[in-house]
Amino acid sequence: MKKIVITALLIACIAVQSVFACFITGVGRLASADGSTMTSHTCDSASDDLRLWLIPSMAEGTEREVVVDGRKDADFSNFPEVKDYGARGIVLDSYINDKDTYQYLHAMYSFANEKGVTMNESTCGWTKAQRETLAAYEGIWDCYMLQDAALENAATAKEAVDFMGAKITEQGWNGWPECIVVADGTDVWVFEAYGGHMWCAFKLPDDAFFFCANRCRIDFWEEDSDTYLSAPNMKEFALETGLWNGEGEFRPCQVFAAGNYSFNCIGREWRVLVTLESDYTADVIGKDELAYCETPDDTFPLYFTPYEKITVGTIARICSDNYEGTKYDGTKSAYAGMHGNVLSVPYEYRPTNVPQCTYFQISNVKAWLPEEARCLVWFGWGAPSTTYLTPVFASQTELAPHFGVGTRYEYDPNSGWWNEALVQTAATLNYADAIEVIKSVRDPLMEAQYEATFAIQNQAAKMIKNGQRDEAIKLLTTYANYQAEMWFDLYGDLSEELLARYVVGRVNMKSSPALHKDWWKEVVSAVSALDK
Amino acid sequence: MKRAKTITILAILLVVLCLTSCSTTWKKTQGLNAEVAYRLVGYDYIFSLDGNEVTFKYVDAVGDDEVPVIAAALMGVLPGAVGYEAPIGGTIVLRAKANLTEVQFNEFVAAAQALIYDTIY
Repeated sequence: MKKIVITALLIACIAVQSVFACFITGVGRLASADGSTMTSHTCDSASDDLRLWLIPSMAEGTEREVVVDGRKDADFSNFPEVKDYGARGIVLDSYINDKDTYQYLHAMYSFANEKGVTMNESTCGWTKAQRETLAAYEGIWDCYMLQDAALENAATAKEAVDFMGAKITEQGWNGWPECIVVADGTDVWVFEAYGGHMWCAFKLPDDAFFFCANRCRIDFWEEDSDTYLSAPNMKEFALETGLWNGEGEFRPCQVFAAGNYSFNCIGREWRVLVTLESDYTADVIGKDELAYCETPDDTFPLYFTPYEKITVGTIARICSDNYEGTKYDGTKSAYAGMHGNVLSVPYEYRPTNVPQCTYFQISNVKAWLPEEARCLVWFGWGAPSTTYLTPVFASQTELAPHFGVGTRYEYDPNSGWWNEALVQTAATLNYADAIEVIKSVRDPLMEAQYEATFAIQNQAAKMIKNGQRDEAIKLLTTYANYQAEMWFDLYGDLSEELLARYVVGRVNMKSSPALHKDWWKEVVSAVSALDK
Repeated sequence: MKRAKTITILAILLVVLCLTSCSTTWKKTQGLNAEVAYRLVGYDYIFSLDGNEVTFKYVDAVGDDEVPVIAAALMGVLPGAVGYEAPIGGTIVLRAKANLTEVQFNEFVAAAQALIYDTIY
């Protein structure tokens, strides 16, 4: 009986952590320091596929299958020649491509195409009544498939929103509610799929920053607007099904997907606000710490203008956060131990930086560059605090070999995910020390890499404008793969270096004091006082 | 006699050197030297004025056929513009028929910045 209870608790724990999975952001072009639009995604599920592939353009007239659940164990390395949708993938429909499709970067959640359209996703939640109501209208498009198809067909963010909306309207949504930010260098759209045939989207103001932590966010309603789109008859459907009583404001996120109003989601939103919005000082979480925040849509702005222009580094910092310096400081938790290991499992308060993160990507698209040079995404595997970010272009002719191999269930020294996972794991031996070592090795290279990538993009732009498109793509491919290989080699050495550094529980054979010495002493004393 | 001839040649050389030097000084004191640098979304732009010449330096991410277009656009806002040359990638030298005043140069830079801003955004 005891074993059954423990097993049930473990399953529940895993389920909860999966539900509170990804964190996403969207940055308008006038809110970024370099004039780009940005979308970011920490893919935080502990079971997601970790491989990244390039899916080539498919010719007009070819058949495209619509697959549900076609990710786990699937192999897209030779797609579309070889269609391996994995053990759980089911083909539910197909259509004929009415034009040549666009090449794109295919991951657990595909995120960029050669036109510079980028996206992300954050899985959100329902109330029990919403789930039961919308389950009756389940359709065939799950998030994986819809993002693939949108990137195959859309040359702009707006086109992607139109495409996704049309598919959900016609054939329905399959899966949990999702919030997806779509951008293209010029525009940023926030799209939410709620279930059944319900969806809506709005265009983010150019100077705004948007964020979502597993909680649907679109809390306003507009009709006949160029910057607000939605499924037909949303209000009528909500009234007919009893999801809305017709009174008060019609807030799609609350009417259709009002789950996940817990600290695990709202806490991350609060942290973003106090970090990036100078006017936001209200410590709302402190009022009712772990209890549900019942009116987050009234409490938090849907988006805001950051007091400083956002850079790739800003996003990396936000996503590497563990509430340091606040009352929820992950380094000051019994789970983190004496060396402030924020990558412990489980965690006391769910931060943006979590150990189960599969990959972390930040798109960085400048509209004025030619498409081939603009479709840039910074990519790394594992927890944001310990990983690197390497440049990847959706226009590349090939990816470095370590991108497309590996499963987390079997060690593979040739896998990019494993390469980073060993550094991350070695860091847990003495996180407080290791994170400084990692930063000292990684951060100067990252800074140099930003500059170098900028120069390469400009050079490629010049070449493309002078009629040397193929040579420019070759330059981008060579450069990006060289950087990827550089990080792979560096992290291979770094994991060994860290392991050797912390051998037998010391730091280079010297004692290592606790991170928060007095606090840790109190923790140890309290634990020692417990009955044994 | 030979000595006198040498002295005469040296004297002439001295006069020529003096005149050349005075001429250079005279020219430079007539024209304004100034420089304005600014950064827009990660790109550096520098405008340098030397009398009637404005050198525009930019991050070279443009095609060869775009250079004349950029130069023409800048000449359109340069008072008394008469021509340009692009000696190397990332540099355009604009010439005006007369030296620019400080006010004219500042107005040109402001107009050029607006053009660049509009091009990017």
